[in-house]
Amino acid sequence: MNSTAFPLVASASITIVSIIVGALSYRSLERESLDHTLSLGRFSTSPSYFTIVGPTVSQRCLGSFSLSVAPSSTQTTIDLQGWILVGLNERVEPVHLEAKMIFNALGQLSVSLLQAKYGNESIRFGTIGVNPISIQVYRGAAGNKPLINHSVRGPIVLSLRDGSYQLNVPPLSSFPGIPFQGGSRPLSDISVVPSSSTERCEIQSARPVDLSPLLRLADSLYQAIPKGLPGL
Amino acid sequence: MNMVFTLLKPKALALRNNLIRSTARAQRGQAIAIGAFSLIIMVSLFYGTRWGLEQLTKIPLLVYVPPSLPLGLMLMMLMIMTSLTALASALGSFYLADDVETILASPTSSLSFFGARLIYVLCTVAWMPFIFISPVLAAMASTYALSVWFIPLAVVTFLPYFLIPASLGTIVATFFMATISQRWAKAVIRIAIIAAIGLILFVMHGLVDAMTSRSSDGQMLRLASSLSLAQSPWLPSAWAATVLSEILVSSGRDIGIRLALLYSCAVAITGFAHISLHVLHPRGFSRALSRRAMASTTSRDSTSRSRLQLPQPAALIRKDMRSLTRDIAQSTQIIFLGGLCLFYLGNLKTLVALDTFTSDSSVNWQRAFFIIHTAITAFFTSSICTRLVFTSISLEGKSYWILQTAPVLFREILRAKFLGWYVPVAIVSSLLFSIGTQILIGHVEITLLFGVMSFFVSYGIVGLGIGLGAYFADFAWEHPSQLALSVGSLIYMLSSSTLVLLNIFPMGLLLQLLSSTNPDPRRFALISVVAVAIAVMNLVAAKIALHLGERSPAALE
Repeated sequence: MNSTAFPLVASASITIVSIIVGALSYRSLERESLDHTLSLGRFSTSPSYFTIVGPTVSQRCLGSFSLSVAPSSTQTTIDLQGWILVGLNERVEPVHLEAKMIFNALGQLSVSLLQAKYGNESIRFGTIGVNPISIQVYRGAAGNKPLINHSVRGPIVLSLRDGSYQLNVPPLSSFPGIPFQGGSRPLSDISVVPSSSTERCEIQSARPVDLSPLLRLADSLYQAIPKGLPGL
Repeated sequence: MNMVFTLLKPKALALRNNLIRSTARAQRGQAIAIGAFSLIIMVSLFYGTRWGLEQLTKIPLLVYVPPSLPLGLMLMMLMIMTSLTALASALGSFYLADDVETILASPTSSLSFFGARLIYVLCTVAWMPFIFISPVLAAMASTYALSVWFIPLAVVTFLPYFLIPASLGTIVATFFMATISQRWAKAVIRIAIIAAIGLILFVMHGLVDAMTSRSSDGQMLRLASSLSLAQSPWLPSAWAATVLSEILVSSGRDIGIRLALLYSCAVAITGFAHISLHVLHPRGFSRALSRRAMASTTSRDSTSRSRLQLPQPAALIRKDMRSLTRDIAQSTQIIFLGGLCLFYLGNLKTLVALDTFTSDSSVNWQRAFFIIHTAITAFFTSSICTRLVFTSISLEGKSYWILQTAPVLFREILRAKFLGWYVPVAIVSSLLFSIGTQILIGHVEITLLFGVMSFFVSYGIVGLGIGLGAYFADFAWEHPSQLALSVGSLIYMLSSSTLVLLNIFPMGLLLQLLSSTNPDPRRFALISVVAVAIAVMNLVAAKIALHLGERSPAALE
């Protein structure tokens, strides 16, 4: 090879290799960022209505909920109200959901409360704090001893990009002992589609979702959490 | 590799001689004063950052500021400014330096020439930011409980972080010199002016549009989201910030991916810089030589055509402006700084909704953003002055003897230079400051008062620039970009930053007094006192600096 051309060829080769390495690394970075991002979509301050549907279009709806976002100068509040028809150990009944999430001025989740009512049973799932996030799960009436009381790494951040709300969560998959992958099969087939306030899903026409596998996941989660989470 | 060291040796020897072999007592005194001043600033930065971080950690449990957020913002701003400096430095080192012709005539390979000059550009752009960054990083390490891996990892991270702008500057400089001839340069500048006017109108339209359709819906969150722009996954500064913050406080993000991205990006850009230089340098350098020849021909032509007798200050200002438009390194910096200014103006519309909030907290947000806006505008002004005003005396270069032998007092020369720079700098700074104030506060009277106050702040900053520029004058430069990267320039940056910080406190106080609805006549008296204090502080700072400049040993010898 010509001695004057050698540095040029060497530079071109190094550049190409670096671009390939960079592209692969960037892909990994994007994958990491996608794992931690949950797109909530576009909302106005008035409630938006959604229908929960099964894996195929022909199948009936599973439930519905409304979501409203109230931003102000000090905080942003997200309210969720809805229901989902569930089958648990051959018993079919709607679970009524009510949730409120409060984000501080930086968009970090500071307080949240989710209440699920299933027949006479009720479960309350609450978080407080930005980092770490203190999680408490109660069963039954207020004043009961918490089923779970633990802290996880935060913050969960709500951001607004191009009119669309996004939730960025810390890496959960790095917690050992918790089967996040593949354990929630019944829910992974479920999708959420926007609907108008007049064309909402009715309980009579809904199809139940089988949550028995999820109950087993909850059991394993309950077993794993008291062992402690890394970095806390 | 040997050849790279041979090419770098003269630069290293010149630096050593400047630092160690300055035997004159005055020079030694100056060096001690500079060292002490730099040390004070570094210690202040360390304690200031630590105090700020401690305040952030004291905020109740409902707000968390991860170290990646301030680090990301700082490194993003620094990378923008470093890229601008690298462009000027690369133009000078690869095309305008006196020794380029000699090196090209010697048996030196293009790789050695590229390697030596790139290392030089890297050192010139990195030394000054490193002085500012190191105390900040040390403060962060001490606040977040230092990990032993922090220091080596910081060094490993900063190498590609600074290499990226140095190589980018080389690529842009090479393409610029190779593609734009002297004849085209005028057309390019005209097109740039038309594009700038169009961009100003577009930005203004956006601002007016945002102000007329005010809505607080989601604005606070959008504001917070725009702060996290510094953490965008495609920004090299964000990769560096995440690597450092993961060492300080782990959040489970992968350091390896970010380091791989930083290094691959830096190597790819450096490789591309070498290819572009290898292919385009002969053409670019030939154009640089013809540019010099044409500049002197144009100068002779215009001198013979000009019959108008101008008063001394006006003639000096005209000469300075003409030199500025002919200097390719200076004019490209002006274009880039103008672009940055427009980018900032364009993003000011995010703050529009703040005054529509009714709660008490909106006042605190207004004040906080007003202080940030004041600081950004003042630092922007001092950044313009570092590149253009501070260097104005030294730029006379080898032709300084003409001014020395002319029947003009040195004081008059300084005044003319001051006047020539003060008017445009003050107008730009006042416009930038007033637009931001109107958006944030929304009262015309307050905007007008702050517009006037910014004329005083500019007076102080420009006065410091001319005075210290004369005091640290250096006429033995090879290319103008060396001046903005000198020790004198560092002293100017530190002094103007101190002046900016001294201005921020009374400006905040003035806003608080102006926003109050208390009809007490003492409030108006206090407003007048604070406004006069700001004006006097800046006038005194400029006067002291100009007085120091008049006694400049370099200019008077």
